[in-house]
Amino acid sequence: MSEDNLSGSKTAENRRNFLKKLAVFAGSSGVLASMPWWSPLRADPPGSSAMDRVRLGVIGVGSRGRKLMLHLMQTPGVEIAAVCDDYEPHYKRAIEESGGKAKAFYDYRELLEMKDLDGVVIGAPLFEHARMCIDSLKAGKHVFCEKSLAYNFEECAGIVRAYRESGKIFQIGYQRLYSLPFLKAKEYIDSGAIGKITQIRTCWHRNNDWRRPIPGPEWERKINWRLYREYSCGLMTELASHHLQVVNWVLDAHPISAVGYGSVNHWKDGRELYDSVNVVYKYPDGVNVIFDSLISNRRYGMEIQIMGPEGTIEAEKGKIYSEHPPAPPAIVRLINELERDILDSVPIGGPSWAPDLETDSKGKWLVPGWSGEETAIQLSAFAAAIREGKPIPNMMKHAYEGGVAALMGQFAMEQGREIKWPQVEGLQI
Amino acid sequence: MKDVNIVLKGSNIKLEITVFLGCLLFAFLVNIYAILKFGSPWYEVVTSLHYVLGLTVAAYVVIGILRLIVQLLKLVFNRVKRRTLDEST
Repeated sequence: MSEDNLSGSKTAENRRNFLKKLAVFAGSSGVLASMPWWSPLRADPPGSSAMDRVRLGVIGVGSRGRKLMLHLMQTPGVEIAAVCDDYEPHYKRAIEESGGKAKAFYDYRELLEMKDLDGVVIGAPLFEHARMCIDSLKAGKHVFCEKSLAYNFEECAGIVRAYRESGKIFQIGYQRLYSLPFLKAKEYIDSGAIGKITQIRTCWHRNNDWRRPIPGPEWERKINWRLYREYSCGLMTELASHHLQVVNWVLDAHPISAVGYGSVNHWKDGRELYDSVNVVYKYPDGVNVIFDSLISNRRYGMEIQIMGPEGTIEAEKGKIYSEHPPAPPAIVRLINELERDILDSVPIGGPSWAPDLETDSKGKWLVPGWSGEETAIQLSAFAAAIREGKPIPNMMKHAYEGGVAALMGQFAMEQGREIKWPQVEGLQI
Repeated sequence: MKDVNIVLKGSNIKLEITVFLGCLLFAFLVNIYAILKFGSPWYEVVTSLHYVLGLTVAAYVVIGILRLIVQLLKLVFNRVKRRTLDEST
């Protein structure tokens, strides 16, 4: 099966066929060597018997949590057995959208008391992650938690400890771990196609206020929690975390330290968290990683530019560019040369100087035709891992290192100093 | 409106084919020159044929425009010459 065939799957039946294709693909040694967390997907799609069914509860069904729930409803062998949210409109919507079959709760601790629940999917705000994850693992539930892992270093370590003690399955919402273009990018990097990585530049730019509509001012902090420090670390945990996980993965390392600046320079509406951030991470072997994000201009969108002396990978775009692209045919070069001689002006600095503008190489697609099914694949992997009863390899490492790296950036900006990787004694990641 | 009968003679067609083939030869030679100049592989003689064809058409169009201008100038010149002769007789 070619990688191209893995794109596109909308209905439940299509998804079952899609999983069949995935099982073959995930079973190949190349995939498992680079992405061992794909191993649960080697299993054939589940049948319709009760034994094959994984019963899940969704905690936090607002924006992202709702999307996860809808995805899970399309995932073969998954039953949404419970939903939980302490915000009435989301609570009611979840009951309705789950077809009224799921038990509904306002308090996640009551949901965890359900004996016939295999696992939980946590889509709650960042500040809730640690206690929800730890309580769920202690209650014997498998956990899928949305990124970023937790609100501070101690909480991140606490989740790791609870995970180790529980022996349960843990999955984090880093979809790029299940993206074929990212897999291909990693393969190119490992094969030396771009040479040794010398710098990575990542950005995530949007142009909106990042607000959600609220029924009244008393709901501001509850609904727009991403804007307030008490609940979130803003752009770092909500956006940068994704890219930092990719960086850790491709460099096979975590950052040594971070420095940065952040500000609220556009959306001065009472928010506490930055709307513009610039962070530089120091990695081993002299590699620096730059992350910048703002929500007042979307010209450059989001990208991860992985650069080496032989080439560049733009992972979000899904393209690879060689530093030495093959020359165009001779006749085209001759015509271009004539055009330049006739039409080009001579720069003031003299004919030997030309500005170092971006090269216009068109590059090559990492996976042609990829349309993105990462969340579906990821949730299928979570369900398959529960069915198999085996942990997902390396998943907690990605969750912890990505989450901590995001926090380092936030703390560096807030404290105006270099933040080093936290050394936590006896922590087995 | 006055009917205009355009008669395309065999000799006209032959001339156009000759001009087009001349352009094709010119483009082919340009490709050979470019391959030699840039030290490109010889298989480009074949793989760049679509560029050669493109250059042929471009050259044919340019030559066509030049021929049209020459024809127009000839026409104007002949009319002026005829008028001058008429006035002198």
